[in-house]
Amino acid sequence: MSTLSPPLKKNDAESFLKELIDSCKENGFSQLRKTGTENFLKAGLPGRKEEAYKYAPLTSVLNNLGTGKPQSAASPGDALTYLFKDFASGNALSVFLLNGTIIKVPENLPKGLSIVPLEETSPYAKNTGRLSTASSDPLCQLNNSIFSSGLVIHIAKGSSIEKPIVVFNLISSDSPALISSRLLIVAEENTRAGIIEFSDTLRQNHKILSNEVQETFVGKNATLFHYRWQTDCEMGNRINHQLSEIGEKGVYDTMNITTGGTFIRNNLSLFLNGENIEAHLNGFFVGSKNRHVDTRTVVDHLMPRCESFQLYKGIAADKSTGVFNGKIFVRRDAQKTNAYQSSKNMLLGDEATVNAKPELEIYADDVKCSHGSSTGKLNEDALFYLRSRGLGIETARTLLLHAFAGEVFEKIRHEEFKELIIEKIRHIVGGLNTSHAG
Amino acid sequence: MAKSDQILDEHIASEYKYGWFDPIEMDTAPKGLSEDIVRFISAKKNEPAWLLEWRLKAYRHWLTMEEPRHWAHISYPPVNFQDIIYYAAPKKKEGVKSFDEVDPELLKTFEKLGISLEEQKRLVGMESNIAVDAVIDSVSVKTTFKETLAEKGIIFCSFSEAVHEHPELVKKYLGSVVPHTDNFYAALNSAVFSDGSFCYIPKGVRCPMELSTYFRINSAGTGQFERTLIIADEGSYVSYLEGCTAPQRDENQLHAAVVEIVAHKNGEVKYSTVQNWYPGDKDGKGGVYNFVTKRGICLEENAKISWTQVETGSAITWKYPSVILKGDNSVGEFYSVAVTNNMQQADTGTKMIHIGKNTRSTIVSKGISAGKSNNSYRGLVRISRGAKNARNFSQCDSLLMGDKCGAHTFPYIEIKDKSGIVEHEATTSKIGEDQIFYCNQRGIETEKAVALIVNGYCKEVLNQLPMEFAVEARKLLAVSLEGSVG
Amino acid sequence: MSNMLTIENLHAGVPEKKIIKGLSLTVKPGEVHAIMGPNGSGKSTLSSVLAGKEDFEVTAGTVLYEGKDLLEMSPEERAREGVFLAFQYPVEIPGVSNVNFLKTALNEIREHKGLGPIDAAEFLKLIKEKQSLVELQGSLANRSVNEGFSGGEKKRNEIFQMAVLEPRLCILDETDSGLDIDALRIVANGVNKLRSKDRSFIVITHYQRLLDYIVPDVVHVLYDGKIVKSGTKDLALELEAKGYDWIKKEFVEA
Repeated sequence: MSTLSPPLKKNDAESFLKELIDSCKENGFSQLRKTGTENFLKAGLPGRKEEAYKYAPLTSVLNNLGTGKPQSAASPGDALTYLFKDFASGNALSVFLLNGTIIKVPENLPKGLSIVPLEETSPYAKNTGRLSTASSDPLCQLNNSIFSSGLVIHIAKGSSIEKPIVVFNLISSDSPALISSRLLIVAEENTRAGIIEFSDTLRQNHKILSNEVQETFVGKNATLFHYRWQTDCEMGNRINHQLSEIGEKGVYDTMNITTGGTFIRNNLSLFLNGENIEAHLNGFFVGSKNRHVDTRTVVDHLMPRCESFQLYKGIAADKSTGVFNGKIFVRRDAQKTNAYQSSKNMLLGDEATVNAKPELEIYADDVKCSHGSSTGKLNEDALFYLRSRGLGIETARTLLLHAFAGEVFEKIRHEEFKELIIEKIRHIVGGLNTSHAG
Repeated sequence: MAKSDQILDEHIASEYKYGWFDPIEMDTAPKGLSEDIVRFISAKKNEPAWLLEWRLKAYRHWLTMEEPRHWAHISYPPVNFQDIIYYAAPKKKEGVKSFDEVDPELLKTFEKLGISLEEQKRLVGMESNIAVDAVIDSVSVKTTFKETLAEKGIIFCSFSEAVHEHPELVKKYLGSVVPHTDNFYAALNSAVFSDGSFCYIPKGVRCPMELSTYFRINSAGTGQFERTLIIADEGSYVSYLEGCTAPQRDENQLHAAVVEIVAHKNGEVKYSTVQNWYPGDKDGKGGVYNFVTKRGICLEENAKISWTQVETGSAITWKYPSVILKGDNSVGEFYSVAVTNNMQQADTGTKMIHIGKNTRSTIVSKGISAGKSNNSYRGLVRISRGAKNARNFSQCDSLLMGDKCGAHTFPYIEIKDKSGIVEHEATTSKIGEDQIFYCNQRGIETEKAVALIVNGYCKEVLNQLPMEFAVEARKLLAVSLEGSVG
Repeated sequence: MSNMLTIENLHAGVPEKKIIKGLSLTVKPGEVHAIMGPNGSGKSTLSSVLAGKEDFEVTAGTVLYEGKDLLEMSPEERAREGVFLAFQYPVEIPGVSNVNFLKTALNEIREHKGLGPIDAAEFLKLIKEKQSLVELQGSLANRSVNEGFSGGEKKRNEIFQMAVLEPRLCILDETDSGLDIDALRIVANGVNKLRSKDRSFIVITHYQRLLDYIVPDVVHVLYDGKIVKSGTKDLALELEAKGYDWIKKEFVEA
């Protein structure tokens, strides 16, 4: 067992990860693991020269990690009292995961819904790796190689799950660790369901990196929403590979909200693999202290007559960094595509940074594609207007920041969650250091 | 769709009207690149030792660099840098004393390009005269109106001449905006550049005429590596035009130029390009590889640099005219139309680097893709920490004609100052069938309608060009897109 | 009777330019003062300075509001003390609902007066009552502040806010600009209903027509940053008849 220590070089990090791979004795999915190992070793750790990781300080993220197995002192009871307990009760189907392993699932699941551990022998697991094997991201391949636990959420053909499935994706370890877990979501044909995921690294005093793969398959005529909210503690770092394939007339709606952690990377790849699909990708982050929030979306229009809508917003305060890198592909066959992407950011900190790279790669001519990106500060005229009506400067700023965020949350299809997030964000933006802003 | 495809295929071979080759007698270096070749070029041009040293430093650095083949959205077979002639000059007749003695073949070349090298031949009634520096392959052959300009203290001459006549200026500014270490092609150019234009506008002078350089690649297997240096001293203004053509050849020709612009306090430079290098045939055979580094620096306050480009030629265009906004209140602009047809590939855009306070930049890019071409906008807007109240607005639009081409947008936006405001908008659309039909119904044939609509689409950019140039650019757009829509 | 507002020898402008050049004005409670003047005379600068916009710098002079130094106060303090500016171009604030905004503002002002926050039902009643004053549709109140409002709706929204917040000194900055005759009548009626013996108005306008509806006690002519002429409402009519050139000529000759 070894622990990395600074100053870290790319080679050290690579040999550390290789040691991790060599010591991996996980069972099952041998083909997936083999491909993952090969692909990772071939590619190596992505450096700053790799376009996809241009703005991500990966080596510093890997600093101080250990190869030891995560052992957690936290119990699900702690988690229960710690997080959103109001939300978890009553009107939701709550699933608790610790480092990717199921701790608790609701006893009486509605008909058509299965929530089981990810095991090769499980009939629900057959799609595992279908998207992640093809990923060009070495870290996704690393997960393919060494993942230690996983969950399957399966919605059987024709089922409508009324209550949201609430996944508490908790991370905890008593020593520095790299945790690799997976989530497989399969919504079969003609289904309706919603997933709300609370991702949290429980408070601790050593560094943790969770490198997780989430594969989602939305079948023909199926509607699925999947909202993720990351509230990791300062020692928490998370790389999430969210790979989704949507079928004909499918509707997929996802949102990533980041208000915690030190290094957060959200990799979303969406394959629109049928006609008349509707996809919504939204996101919001709040950056404070040294937080780095890095979002990369790839929306791949493979078939005609699909629509995709993206809205990503962020507020960068203190020394934080926000990165948005969004790509829309429109393949030759994907005529009549409508694709929109918007990224809007606000800088509050003197040492904050925002990098945006909204890309279009278009090979079909009868399409409507556009993107817009804007970055700026609080609107001074609006601030003055509010003050001239008697609002104090802090109240006015909070109101404007909250309104800025609100545009994203308006898109949430679950009222209770919408109310919760709007209320929590009000406190979060209200607590930001804006004393020099405006 | 099928019908339009058919018509598209039928018409796709639009003729390149500058594709002749002139049998001018040339003085050339042997193929390939080595320190000896660098020394040969320097010796041919009778250069001072410092410049040879500068070239050699660049050459040695180039040897350590890798050809950038991965990040740009272009693909082409590796260039064999040992298979290129790095120096070719029209042979001077002994003791040419007047313009009349210049090789008549050479004069014909420029006449075919529609460029008059005879000052008296100016069109009557044309208000703005154009002073021309003509560059064939590696050397400047003629600069017009030199004396008129000299009266105002303006220096406009070939680069080689500037090295001898104004070494202090060349020494001061050469490599100050694009250092030899900047990129692979800039390093190559620094080692082997042959000629180009040099322009200096003294304090407070507004240049009374457009300054223009026409570049033409003529010889086979020759690379063209020209170097242009423009300096606008305090409070001066100049508008500079650049035009390019090359003969039709089966093999690819390499063009790797460097343009450096320095604008001092209150100085302004407007740089316009109509690039019409041979684009290759409809199957992608031949054509110029255009790997160009163009950059300007607004060195002091209130300086302004404006790039306008109409790119219709080249098999491959790799070009990012940029502005470093160092002085407070300085302004950078980039207006671009890039048209690709057949198998052409363009990866072009700009960089706006905001360093000074209250700096402003505007980017307007119009990409038009037809045939099987790929057209990419790639741009960087960087607001450095401390660049208070910097503003950028970017608009990048792509137009697709036919379903075999690609239109791409890769903007990089990096903001490190919270007082900065950056806005970027991009759209992709096709030419409206209803628009074409409307024109048809009014009696305008489709081809003309396309030209009309495309010209309208590019208006914002074309309006930035000086009048004579705008007319040429409009015609060129129409020609480049002939047969691209059914 | 003590003065509500006393401006003495006010000089103000932006760093590169002086705009207000020695302006003096006294407004008593209950009075309506009209300030007229050609474009560029400093009308809007005056309203911005009174509201505390930081873009403008006061280089000399004093402004006393109810005996207190107005220039020392932050924009929100001025608002809480009862100074209200109806903006010429009210800014759009996406995402902030009109109702939420107004409730926050009202509660800030109430807190300043030592009152507790307004009860929700009471607030709704207040909103309804005041909306009818300017014939503002109920649905507008639920939209974002000024977003997607027509020019007329924006101006009516300003007067509506004025009615809710009950200021003592109201500054109307070219409230008539961009209004058709019906909207002008509605806005003016709203203002007239708000007139009272202890509320004063400064009505800034380019044209006389607004003054047909809001009849002023005093009319001032602002030219080149100074008040060059003051008189009764007849002065406005005279201006309308003779045009601003008359003033310019007279002023330059004087």
